[in-house]
This record gives sequence, structure tokens and C-alpha cells, in this order.
Amino acid sequence: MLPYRWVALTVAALAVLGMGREAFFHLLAEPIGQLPAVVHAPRSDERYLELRKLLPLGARLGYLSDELIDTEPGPVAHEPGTKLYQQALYALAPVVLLYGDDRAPLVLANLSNAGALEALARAHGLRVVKEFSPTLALLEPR
Amino acid sequence: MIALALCAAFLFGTGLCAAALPRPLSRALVLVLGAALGLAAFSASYAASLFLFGADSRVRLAKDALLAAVGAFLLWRHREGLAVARAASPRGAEVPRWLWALFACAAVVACALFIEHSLRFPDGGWDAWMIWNLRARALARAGAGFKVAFSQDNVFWAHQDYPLLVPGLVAQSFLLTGSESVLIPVGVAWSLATLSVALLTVGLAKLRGLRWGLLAGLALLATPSFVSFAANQQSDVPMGLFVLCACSALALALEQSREPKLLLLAGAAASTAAWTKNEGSLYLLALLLALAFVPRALPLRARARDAALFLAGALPVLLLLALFKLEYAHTNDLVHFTSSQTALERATDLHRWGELLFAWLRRIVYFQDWALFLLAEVLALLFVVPRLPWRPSTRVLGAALALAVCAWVPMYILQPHPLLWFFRASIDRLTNHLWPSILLVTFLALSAPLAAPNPTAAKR
Repeated sequence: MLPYRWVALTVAALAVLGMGREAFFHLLAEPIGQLPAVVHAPRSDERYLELRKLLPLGARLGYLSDELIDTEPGPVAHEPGTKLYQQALYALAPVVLLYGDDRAPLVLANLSNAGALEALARAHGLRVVKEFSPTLALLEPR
Repeated sequence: MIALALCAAFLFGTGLCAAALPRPLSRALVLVLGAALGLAAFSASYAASLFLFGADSRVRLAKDALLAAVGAFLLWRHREGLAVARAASPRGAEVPRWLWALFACAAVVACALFIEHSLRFPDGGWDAWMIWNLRARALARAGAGFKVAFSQDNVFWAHQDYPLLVPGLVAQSFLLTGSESVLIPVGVAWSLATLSVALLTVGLAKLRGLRWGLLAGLALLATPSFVSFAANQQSDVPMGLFVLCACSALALALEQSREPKLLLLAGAAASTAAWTKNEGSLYLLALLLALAFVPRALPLRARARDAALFLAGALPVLLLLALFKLEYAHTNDLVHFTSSQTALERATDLHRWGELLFAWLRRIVYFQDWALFLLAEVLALLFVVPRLPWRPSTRVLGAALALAVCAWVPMYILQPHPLLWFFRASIDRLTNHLWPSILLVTFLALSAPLAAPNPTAAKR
């Protein structure tokens, strides 16, 4: 067997190094001074609160956006659109969001550009049922 | 109902461990392993009752009452074992004071950084809210229409086929408390990470003495990626815990006359890993194969018996997994986007193999997530462990872990994503699945078994 002392000193040295790395990452790489501001930033759920109250459980909605989302394996090429879709899925669960489907009875328009709603609705032959914010609305076929 | 749920998890897990663990019992081990397996049983029984009897709250009440009753009965039946536990447990050599201090310091640092990360990302890392907490919310909110949680019409990033151990814990907590506070998934993540450190420490303490247990626990606490992954609320640290449960039970079985009850318990523990993530089935298979083929000194019949007992212990949760996969979660993205033609092309692409080799070598010295722990582990495996005497436990568990790591290779080569991107996105998570068990086996190899306990003390 190895002398316990050797193993113990090696593990202790590795542990001190590991704790140092943890502290560096959590305190400096993610600056601890920014924490109060981050804590008080609005959560993504808040954007969907009003919409969620209107939806029946397990609703199936078409999903349109002015941002593309990734539907194939691989590195996230369209991060803003993919994140927006996933945040909607998370906030509105349980819901089915049919990406690109503009013929569903109800279609969710989830946008990053506030001025894009009208053009999007017109391009897909939809009309606004309810607008929750300039970037979030429920649409239906005309 | 909250009290009953807590009793169900605690009593069932500790009852199971009191019945199966070798005498003299270690109360700490019964408590820690029991808490981990109790939580797993609490979650698996939720899914089973949901699939078979629906989402009615009375169904959950009945299954919790049943778990609590079975656990209480087992504890009552084995009360004598618990009563003599402390007197007969071998303690090993004295623990140096500086080790206690460093362990406490590492625990405080890990908890503080866990809190900091949880404040910064209350919904967890991307995978946590995109997969695990999403599923928990869907199950808790959907009621009788829970099948929508697995709808294949959502994009595949939601990984609808992933097993439900962690979402099951979070969803039940949402339902029991009537709240979707972020403190619930944060609390579940903290509890399972804490149990990992505790189980590694008390498991090794039982087999090699407390000073070795504390060293292993310290190594896990100070591994940078362990704390970050725990705070990210993903299922990788829980997976590490349940693989460790299986390895700890197997180590006890292999060092203590291969008792059937311990082999059953090890199989049950391994099946909870399979109910945590898809890779868990692979780890269960690796443990089963190692148990069946590695102890060559044993006659074939004895090895077949051990493997059959292990499999029998795993059977209930494996049946649940089969029901889930056949009935609710048909499509896996790695399989869905792969054809036999593309798999063959990837398998014969030498560039891919080279990329994987270099990416892996780089990871050994990936300071950001592992500090120097992986490098130290590789050096120990190359230059130290081969010179030490092998025991059945280290031989079987070492082979199982090596087999599991080898099985990652075809997974990386054949999967449909760009290799380097997929490797970077997943290798630290996979390593975290096995890291607590790797530490367990390494420290089992580095240290000598404790002297047999004093039989007169056991009778007191």
C-alpha cells in the first residue's frame, strides 16, 4: 500500500487548486459584483405570464418568429431564435409549439423585433387575436 | 401529504438498506445510501403510478403510503442490526485534524459557490430548463394529459425520451407544495450533490476507514465541474450519485462474501441510474458484464448467480423504463438522425477517430473543469495502481468503469452531430457520471481493507 501521508498530501494539494479554480470562476470570471443586478433582472417566464393564463393545458399552437431556430443536430447556429422558442416552451408548459405551422387554429408569434408583427401576420395570411406585447401575440388564420 | 412523502422516501430507502447492508451496520451508510435510494424509489414509483393509474392525487397518496409502510416494516424487522451498529463498526486509524478542517473548508466553499450560481441562474443551466425542469413543469401542470410532456411535435432539443428520475422528484415537489418556486429544483440539485459527497465519504469509511473516506469526499467536493454541474440542476450529478450507489453496494458485496441481498441492492441502485439518463442503461450493462466475466477465480455458476441477482434487483425499474420507452418516448435524436449508411461512413472516417483522440487527450489537462484531478487520476492509473494488489472489488468495478468509458467511443464516433462540438458539449457531463465511482475505486485500490470487526462488540 502507498503511505497514507503521500496520498493525503497529494489530494490536499489538488483540492486547494480545485477550490481556487472554483472560486476564480464563480467570483471573478462571473464577476460577483454583478450578482445583485443579475438577481433582480426579469426572468424569461414573465414575458409569457398573461398568455399562459389564456391557454388550455396541453394546447397545440403554431409557432412563428422573425428569428430562425435550429431543428437539426449540430452547434446552435441560430441561438436567439432557438432560445426564444425554448423559453416559450418552458414558460407555457405543457404546450406543443409547432415550428413553422401557420395553419394551426392558433399561432404564437414570438419575435425579437418589435416592428415585425404586422408584416409576419400579413405574409402568412393571419390576423392578430391578442397582442401581449409588441413582440408576442396570438394569431389565427384569416 | 408532504410529511407522508418525506416519510415514504426516507423509510423505504433506509428500510431497504437496513435489510440488505452487511452486519455490523454502519448507521451513516444506511442513512446516506437509504436517502439516495429512497428518493429514487419515490420518483420511480411516481412515474409507475402515473403511467398505470393516472395523475389523481389519491394515487400518489396511496403509493407514498405503501412505500412508507414497506420501509417501516423493513426497519422494524432489522431494528436489532441498527441498535448494535455503532458499537461494532471498525473505525480505522485516527483522522488528522487538518483533513477535517480542509474537508469542512471545501464543503463551505462548494455550498457558497452553489448558492452564488443558483442566484445567478435560478432555472439552472440551459439543459436544465430546456429538458429537466421543462419536463417537471409539464408533468406537474398537465394532470391527466401528461402525455403531452413527451410530444414529438416540439423540436428535438427538448429530448422527450430522457428518463424521469429528476423531473419526477421536482414535479412531485411542485404538486406537494402547490408552488413552482425555483427553490425546489435548486433544493433537489443540492440534496443529490450533497448525498454524492456523503455516500463517497461514508462508503469508503465503511470499507477503508474514515480518513480515506474524507480524502475521497474532499477530492469530489473540490472538483470544479462537480459544483458547477450540481448548481446547473442537470441530471449528470444525480447520475453520478446513482452509479456510485451501485458501485458502493457492489464493492460491499464483493468484499463481504457476495451476499445475495447486497447484489440485489446493487442491481436496484444501478437501475435508478438507468432511470436518470439514457447513459445509465449503458453503465448498468457494464456493471453486469464485469460482474459476470471479470472474477475469473469464481466458478461460472457462481458468477452467473451473482449476475442474475444483480439483474433481478434491477428488474422493477427496467420494466418501468421499458414501459416508458415503448409507450411514451419512442424517438431518440442520436438514433433518429442516424442511418446505417451514415453510421458506416462515420465509423470508417479516420479523421474522426483522430479528432476524438486529440480532444480526449486535451481534456485530461482541461483545468477549467477538472483542475489537475483528471491528470492525477490518469497518472495514478498508469504508474501507481498497477503496482498495488488487486482485490475482487477493484477488479470488477475498475473493469466496469473502463468498459463504460470504452462504450463512449463508438457513441462519439457514430452520433450525428459535428464531433468536436458534441464532444465539448458532453464529455464533462459524461465524466461526471463516473467521477464519484472512479474516486471510489481508486481509493479502494490505494488503501487496505479494515481489520474485521470485533465479533464480541457486534453481539453487545
